Parts: sequence; structure tokens; C-alpha cells
Amino acid sequence: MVFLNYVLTGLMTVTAIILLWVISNEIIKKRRIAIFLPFLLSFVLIALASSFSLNGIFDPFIWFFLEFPWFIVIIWIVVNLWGEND
Amino acid sequence: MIKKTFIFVIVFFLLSIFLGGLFMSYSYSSEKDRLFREASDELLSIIELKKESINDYLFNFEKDIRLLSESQEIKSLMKQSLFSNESLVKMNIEEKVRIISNEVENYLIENPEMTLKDLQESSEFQEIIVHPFGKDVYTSAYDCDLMVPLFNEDTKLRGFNLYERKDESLSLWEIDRQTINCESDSNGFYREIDSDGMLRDKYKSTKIISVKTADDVSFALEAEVYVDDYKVIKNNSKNLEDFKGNLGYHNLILISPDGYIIYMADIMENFGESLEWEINLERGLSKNYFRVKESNNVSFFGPFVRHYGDIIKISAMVPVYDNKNLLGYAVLVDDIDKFFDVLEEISGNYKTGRYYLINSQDLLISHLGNTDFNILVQSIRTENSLNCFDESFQLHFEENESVETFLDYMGDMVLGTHREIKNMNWCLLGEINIKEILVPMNKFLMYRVFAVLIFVLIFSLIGFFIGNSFDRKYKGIKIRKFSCERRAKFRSWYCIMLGLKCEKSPRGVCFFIIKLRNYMKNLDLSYAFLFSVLFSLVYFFILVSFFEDWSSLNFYNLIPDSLALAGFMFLFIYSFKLKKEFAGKLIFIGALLSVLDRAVQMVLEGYLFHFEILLLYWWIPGRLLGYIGIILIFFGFNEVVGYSKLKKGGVK
Repeated sequence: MVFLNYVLTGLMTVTAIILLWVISNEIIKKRRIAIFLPFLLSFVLIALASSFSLNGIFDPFIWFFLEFPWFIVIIWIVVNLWGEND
Repeated sequence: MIKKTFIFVIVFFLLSIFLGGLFMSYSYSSEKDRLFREASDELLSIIELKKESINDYLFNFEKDIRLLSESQEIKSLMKQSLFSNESLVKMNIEEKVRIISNEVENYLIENPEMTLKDLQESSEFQEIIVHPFGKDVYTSAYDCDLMVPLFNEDTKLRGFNLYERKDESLSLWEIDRQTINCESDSNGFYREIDSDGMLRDKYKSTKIISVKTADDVSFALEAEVYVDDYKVIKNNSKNLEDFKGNLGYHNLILISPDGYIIYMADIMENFGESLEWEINLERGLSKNYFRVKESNNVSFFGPFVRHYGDIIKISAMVPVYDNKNLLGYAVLVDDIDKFFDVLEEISGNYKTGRYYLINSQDLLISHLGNTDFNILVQSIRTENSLNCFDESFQLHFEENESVETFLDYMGDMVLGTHREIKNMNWCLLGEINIKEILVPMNKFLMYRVFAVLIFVLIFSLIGFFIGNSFDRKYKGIKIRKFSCERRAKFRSWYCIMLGLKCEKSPRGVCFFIIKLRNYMKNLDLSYAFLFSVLFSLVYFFILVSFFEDWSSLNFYNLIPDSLALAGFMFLFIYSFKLKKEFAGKLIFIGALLSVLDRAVQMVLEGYLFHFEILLLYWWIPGRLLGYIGIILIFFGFNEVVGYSKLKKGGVK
């Protein structure tokens, strides 16, 4: 199943690269940190997940802490969207 | 304005990913089925061949023992009167005393700190030194310096002094005298009046234990038996020895109707004893004797070990009759190694393919791997072995088809099946490790993924060129957007086809979408929040109740997913309220994909914790959706927040 590990890791890596590209654009355009921080947090989470997946580490305890911050990312996005939309 | 090129590239990219995913899913499952079918075919054919080999072996074994039971040689031997052979008794007793004294010495070497008092209080040591022996007698031990009994089945004898025997029996004292001060071992015959008042010959063997206790006490181990308790046939048979030798059997044994081992082609330590004695009841030969006595037919028994370290045996026993008179029982004993050779003759293409036997107590009885140390020791309790001895399972078991996946005794996932060997009450198990079956999948998937990536690239490029040509062709021309409201103003194609009079208001899916959109737009945010949380909670409770045991605490893994599910669901509803239409669509699709991803992921996690096994493949489609969703949400978010901040001059 090593090959499937690579596929999963590949997916994560592609996503992380796209996020990195978005983040670098945000930094170049000197946007507020509050706007691109969820991108940054997501990038960190996906990069970590990618590294664990590549090494075949699927310990539920580790993944619990990797999955949990996604809620913060979503809340952050919702709050910012709300502020702008109003 | 968003260029058509961008929209076409995204649409073609997503479409190609979807088509590629479908293709991958289909080809993966069909290739997996093919590999499993190949492995199943091999498993079924090999296990059937091995079962036939075992049955052939047992058939020949039965043929030989039946031939033997019909021979006049056997019948004339069994008709002979029995006698007690002194030299045989001597050999038998001395050998047993030697074995037990070795066990006692080993115990003392392993426990050098134990004093005489400790040993007398140790039930473990008592079991070794006071050992059942002969017909209702036990070994005993005495202090050979003081000549005082120390370990005896009859506790009343403790405190008795062996010097007192001098007055009771001079011949017995002559034997015991040699062991005074632990000088030497002693053996000898003497006469004694038994409890019925009969004068009978006895044989006594005494052996000095060479290891002392922690408080420097020396023992002598003694055993004595009546000579006429052992019964054998006087004559040997050259023909029977030849019969055994020519057919390559380990031994040929004759047993009297009352259970005495009266003939052995190769003399061994139980010769002359009765299989009905308490000490022999646990022996393989004795178990087979009682089985034949009950069934009055041929019976196989095995494997069994005569004593520790010996080669494992299998026996076939048959009653011998002469004109309906039971003369006794004939036994053929074979080395089980010969039997293993039959099992190992056929091997398949899979390195992890294992075919092994267990008995009805779930104990391994054949080689597993390259070792045989675990035979009759290793317990095999798997779904495969339990099914084999389960009568209700066997009622519906179809030998040609029943190949299943389950965990083997090592906890690895295997493909396996079983065959019952009815004569012996054995089960033949066949298993191949799933990992080895799926090894060709890696190469297969690598080529497929490569092909799909090329396809995605080409398809996206096509999208780019089409979009680009549209941009060039309709430069300056605004194409009216397709919308559900506008569609409703025209007669639908099916109305035209059928000539029906259609209403002007939206119908079908359009009607549903418009209603949903309007409802979501007007939905109060507190209700949206409540709905998201409730949806997530209900989903969480249903999954945990379905897959998990609440007491296992594995459900904690579903908590972050439930939170994310609630968040994405709220984002999904909120996307309808966004004023920027394109950003709203991006977030709508992104949140929908993320909700799907989390929902699928929670089911897979529940399955994984319940069944403890799940192929990594199943995570990939959901994850793919999830990551596309995340990227779309971020693009949408950027569209709403990023540009507005820039336009407001909010560069900090």
C-alpha cells in the first residue's frame, strides 16, 4: 500500500503548493494578516498531514490534533466573510 | 469580468478529474477482483489437492491395518497365553525411574534456594517426585542419609524409619541397604504378601538424586511394582516385523482385550502395561483404544507425543476377531513427518500461501513455516478455524466457492478457506496474505495514475483553447447568462416535443433550486447555525451508534470531523447570502464538496475503528473532493475579502 500513500501525499502536496502560491500573492500585495492567516494555518496543517501520510503514520491520536484546527480555519473564514458581506 | 478561458479550464479540469476518478475506481475494482479471483482459484485447487492427498494417506493407512487384522499370524499370536517377563519389567521400571529422577534433578538445579521444608510444601515439586507409576502405585523418595521417608503418596509413612524394614523383609532390606549414606543406586526382585494374602514377586528400583537441597539433604527416588502386573506374549514374529519394516511404519502393536500392550515390534517403555491404568489414560494410544472399544471399528488418532522431545506420531487401531471372538486390537503407528511430506508436496505461486492442519481443540498439528516446535502447543483461533468446526456453518458451506477474507492468527489480513478431514476430526486451513495478492496493484495503479494525469492535462488544455477561442470570438459581446428564471420563461424542450401547454413558472429541478436559494437567502443566521450544529450532531450520533461501542472511546476521533462538518455546513448556507455572485458560487461548490468529504471521512473512520482494517484506497476519492473544496472556498474567500480590502485602500 506504499503507492497509495504516495497518491494521498501527492494530493496534499498539490493542495499545499496552491495554498503557498495564494499566500505568497497575499504577502506580495501586502494584504492584512487576518485575511491570509487561515491560508497559512491550512498550509501548515496540510503540509504536516502530507508528511505524516508519506511516512505511513496514521495514528488516530496525531490525526485528532491535525483535524481539530480545521474548525478554527472555517470559523475564521466565516467571521471575515460576514464582516465583509455586511 | 471573469474570462471564459478561466471558467473553461476549471470546468474541463474538474470534469477530467471526475472522469479520471471514475476510470480509476472502475479499473481498480476490476483489477482487484481479477487478482482475488486468481488467488482464490489457486487456493481452492491446492487445498482440494492436499485434502485428497491426506485422504489417500489415511485410506492406505486403513487398508494396511485392516489387512493386518485379518492375517492369521496376528490371530495366532493373540491366541497365545500371556506371561510376565522379568527382564521386561526390569527395563521398563529402571527407564521410568531414570526419567523421573532427571526431572527431579532439573527442578532442584533450577531452584537451588529451596530447603527440604520448602520442597515438602511445594505442590509443584510433589507432583514431580510423587509420580503415578505402574498399576495404582507412585514413586516416593526418602532421605538416604537418615533412611527416613520424605515424599510419599501415603503421608502416614513419613517418620517411619527404613531400618525397620530389616525385620520385615530381608530381601527388601538387601536392596535398600545399598543406598545407605547415598552410596549407590540399587535394583532388585523380592517377594511380598499383597493385600489379598498372595505371595507375589516385586521389582524395586532406587536411584540416588545427585543434587542436594539448599539445607544439604540428599534423596533417593524409589519405585516398586508387582511383576505379574505386566503381561506380554512370549513369542516374537519375524513376519510382523517384516510387515512393519517393509511398509515403513514406526511400530506395530498388539493389545489384549483388557488393554495390555502385549506385543511391540519395536519394544518401548510401555510394553506390558495396560492402557486402562491411570498413568496411561492421557496417552494417545490409550485414547485411541477407548475410542475403538466404543465404536468397534477402525479409528485414527493423532498427532500425539510419546514423551517430551520424541517424534510426533499418528496411530490407526482396529479390533481383531476370530469367529466373532474378540482377540484384541492391532495398532499401526506412523511418524507424522511422513504425513507432513504429503502436505508439503504441493506448493503454489504465492510465497505467503500456507496450508496447515489443526485438531478439534484448535491446536496446530502440522508444520507452520519452517519450524515444528509449536505443534500441539500453538492454538489457532481464527474465523477460518472456528467456521471449520461450526456445524451450523458447515450446513451452508460450499467447498467450491467459499473463499473469504479475515484476520489470521498473526492478525494479518488473509484470503482463506478450509476443508474438514472428517475421519480425524481435523481441519485443513489454507491462507494467502492479502498484501501479496495485491502487490501487482502498485504497478498497475502507477500506470493508471500516470495516464489519468496526462488525460487531466490534455483535457484542461482543450478547455483552455476552447475558452480562449470564445474570448477572442465574443470580445466585447456580453453573453447572456443562463439562469433558471430565464429558462422558465421559455417552453421546455419536452413541452415542444410533446406539444403540451406548459406553465410559465419554473418547474422541476429549477423550481427546487430557486425555492432553496430564496429560502437560504432569507434564512436567519441563528437558524442556519442551529441547523448546521444539529445536522452534525445527528450525523455523529447515528455513526457512533452504528459503528462504535460507546464504551470503547474510539468515537473521540469523530469529534473534530463533526465540528468541521458543522462549520462547512454553515459556510454552505452562508454562501447563498453572499452579495458577490461568483464568490458565492465558488464557496457554494467548495463547501458542498467539503461537507461531502467530511461525511464520507466520518463513515470510513467509523468503519476503520470497528473492523480495524480499511484499504488506503478508500480515503482517496473523499480527500480529493475535500482538497478541491478547500481551494475553491479559499478562492471565493479571496474574491470577497481580498479585493474589497484592496479597493478600500486597506493595504497595511
